[in-house]
Amino acid sequence: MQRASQCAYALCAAIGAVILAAPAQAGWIDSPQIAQLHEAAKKEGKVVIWGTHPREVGWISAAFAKLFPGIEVQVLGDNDIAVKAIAEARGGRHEVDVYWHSMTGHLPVVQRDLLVPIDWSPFAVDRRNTAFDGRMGFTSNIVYVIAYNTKAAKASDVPTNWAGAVDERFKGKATASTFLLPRLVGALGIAWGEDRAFEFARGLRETTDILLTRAPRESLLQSGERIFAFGEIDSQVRSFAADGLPVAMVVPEPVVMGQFGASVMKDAPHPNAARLLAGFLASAEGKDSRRQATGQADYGPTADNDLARRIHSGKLQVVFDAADNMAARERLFGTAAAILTGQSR
Amino acid sequence: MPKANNLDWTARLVIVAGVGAAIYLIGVPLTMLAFAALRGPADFLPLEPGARWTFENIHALLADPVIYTRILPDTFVFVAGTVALVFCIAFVLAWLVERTDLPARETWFSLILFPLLVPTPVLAIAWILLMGPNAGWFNVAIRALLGLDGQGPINVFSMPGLIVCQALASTPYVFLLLSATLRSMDPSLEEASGASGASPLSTFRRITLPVLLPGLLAPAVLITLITAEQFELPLIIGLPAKVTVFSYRIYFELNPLGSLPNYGAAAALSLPFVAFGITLLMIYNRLIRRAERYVTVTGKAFRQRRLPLRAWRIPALAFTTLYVAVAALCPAAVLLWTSFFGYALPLSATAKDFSLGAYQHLFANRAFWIGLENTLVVATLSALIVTAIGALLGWIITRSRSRWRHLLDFLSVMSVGIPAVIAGLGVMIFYLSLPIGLYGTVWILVVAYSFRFATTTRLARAGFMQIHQELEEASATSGARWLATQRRILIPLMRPVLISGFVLLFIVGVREFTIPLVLFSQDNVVLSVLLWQLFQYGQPAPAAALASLIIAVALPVVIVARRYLTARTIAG
Repeated sequence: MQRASQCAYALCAAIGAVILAAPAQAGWIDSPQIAQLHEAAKKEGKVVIWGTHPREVGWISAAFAKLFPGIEVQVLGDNDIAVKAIAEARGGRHEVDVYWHSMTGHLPVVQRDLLVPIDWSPFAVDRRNTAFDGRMGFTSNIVYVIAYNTKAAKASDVPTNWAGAVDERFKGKATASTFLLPRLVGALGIAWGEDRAFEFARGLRETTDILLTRAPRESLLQSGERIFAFGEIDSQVRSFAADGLPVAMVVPEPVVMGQFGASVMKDAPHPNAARLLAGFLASAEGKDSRRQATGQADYGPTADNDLARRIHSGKLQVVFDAADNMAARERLFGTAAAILTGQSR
Repeated sequence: MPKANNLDWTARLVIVAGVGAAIYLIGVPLTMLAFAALRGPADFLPLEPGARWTFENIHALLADPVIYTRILPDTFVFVAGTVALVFCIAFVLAWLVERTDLPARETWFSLILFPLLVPTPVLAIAWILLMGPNAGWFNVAIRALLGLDGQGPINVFSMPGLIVCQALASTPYVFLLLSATLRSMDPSLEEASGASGASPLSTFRRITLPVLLPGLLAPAVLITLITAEQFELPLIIGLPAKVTVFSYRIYFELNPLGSLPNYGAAAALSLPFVAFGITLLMIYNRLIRRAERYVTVTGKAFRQRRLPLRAWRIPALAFTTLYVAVAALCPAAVLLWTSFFGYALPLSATAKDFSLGAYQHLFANRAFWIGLENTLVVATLSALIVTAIGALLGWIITRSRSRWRHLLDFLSVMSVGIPAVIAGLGVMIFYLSLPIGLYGTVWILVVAYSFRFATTTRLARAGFMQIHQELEEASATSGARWLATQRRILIPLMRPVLISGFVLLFIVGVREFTIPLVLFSQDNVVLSVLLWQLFQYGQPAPAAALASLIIAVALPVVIVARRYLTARTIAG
């Protein structure tokens, strides 16, 4: 138990250290191939990117314009972009150029053949940092954590294993996002098996009486309405703490890591600008800009930071986003969502 | 009465266009729902290649035990509890404001309407901050006063909490309906009761309530229907409280968190809902006709004499103040506080926590200006369309002898029975399948908002009944065409009625949340959706600033509209 706690706190320290990582080195930006692509993109004039959250895409316009001026970047941040992209493609309306989502969020659009494979090499993107036959370029990772109000609880009050979250002592004290928690449960289903994961979901609902909400959990934590938030995202908790909120986090095992990335829509109305923007986002420069703007870092196989090394050391139980477990995860979190929201038993 | 063959071509053109538009605007969502319910497989658009005819959606609905064991019971308790509580609160408030000598009645009237102005998600979040079981401001105060420990005593995240919040939010609608009825009631019976020495409470119980009972049933049916379609509070307060009502389940099928929308399942779920609505509306129409026969609501002139409250003045003021405090003043205070102090709590805040940054952030946000423009465009145009078509339907129903007029009347009233989430879904499915470029634009919102004809048709019907037909006949005899008669005689006379309807619809359009949430894109975002996004994505201060601005803009509109509303409100 003590070893597990030390491990969880060490992970938190490693996550914090990621923020201080050295900036990336430019190189590919000045190549003739990129210059040609930039010129073609400028003629198209604009590019539309959809991401899962306004905070995740809001910074892109300014950062992209610094390197590639002359292209207007329009952004839309919303949890339901997969639905919108598919519905609109089916309706023959093609508005979005670049799609930014998790691997599970990519799966429905990949299955419906709405993305186009692109050559990531001009952007110096390693092949290991792509998925779905070159359709998705990795940009960043998230780690699911338990956030807590530091005025009402200590780190030692927080479970260091996800299984410990189902406990009477958290009754009436915990909250979670309707969007994030089913995804966490789906990932735990890969590590634990689906029966245990669904029992975990039922336990959270019935034993812990978790306050499942689409409203901001940090307000509930800060006001003291709830003390623990299960299944939050590491970068968000960090940014709330930086804003002065009394919140900190613990990373329980199994460590559940999400993989996010960018891709280009097959019917993108601005295909050159779309390739340039997706390539920028997956490049070292794009990752560095994202880390500075949102705190969201790269823990992928080629990342050079302490947490990435620990995750890939084989010493921790980690659930990775991987192409071969995507379909299972999607099915698992669909069922978990129904259980958690009371639409299924 | 004009017959069809007496009308000139301009009249026929306008009538055909108006009726066609009404049928289209109401028919599109309803037809698409019926169509989608019978098309599959799951998550395919009804007209998409690969979709086929199927009863799978209906079978899945009938075979789902959660519908019977959780959703129907929860919906029943939610609707019954809310309607009962709304009626108690709204009736007492309307009676106090319209029939008694309660002080500052004009001010109370405007304050009671406050929840009507504020998008419901904003009210929900304010009530969570006030009534959260652990740290809600009310609970903290009550525990401090009574020396209690632990949680509560109020728990907003419960069925009773949801019912109370929904009742607080819906009270203004019923208040408006009831105050119109009470205002036009002949007070002679109450005066006779008072002269015989009966107390105000006794007079209310033995005279006012029995006399008004037939006229109360119609609003009861209407508020039952409106409550059953409520979606915002069940989403924000009901979901954490583990309360699942029908409208949330429809939303869940459209946004299933873990997978893609199941249009067929959502449509199949909507059908019994619409059938329930139609049944209630048939009852409603029958009650309206019966209620109109009662002599308690007449055009006969009478002098309004208010019942003196005497010793009941303090309890009456306390009740009114309590409602206004919980439903209006406290949410407004929470919003203002949050907009200036962000995350800081009242007991721990210092002067350095005060900031105008949220307002600066908002004004620097391009989405705010786009949302403001879209909101004004959509609310104005949809209110204009509905007012114009509703007035035309009102004219046809009162002036024509067409055998179709009753059907038009029913169609118009039925529009209020279509839940917003269903209207949004129907419009979304139709325009995604129809490649005319409307989907994703601000115009689809104008079309989607423009289906609620019931209020303006009712208002216009009442207005036309008060204008004698001799005026139109004289105009026609003088050689004026139908359109000229409408423009020069009827529209000027009907102006107050039309403005009342327009203002009411404009307010509904500004605060509409459900339809734009289903249909929004980066081009057609409106303020209510922007507000929800800001809250949902962890920017409470700018969200509160935006809510405060909406209230600051809408409140003067209500005060101005009050003159029209008090005179003309909702005949039906």
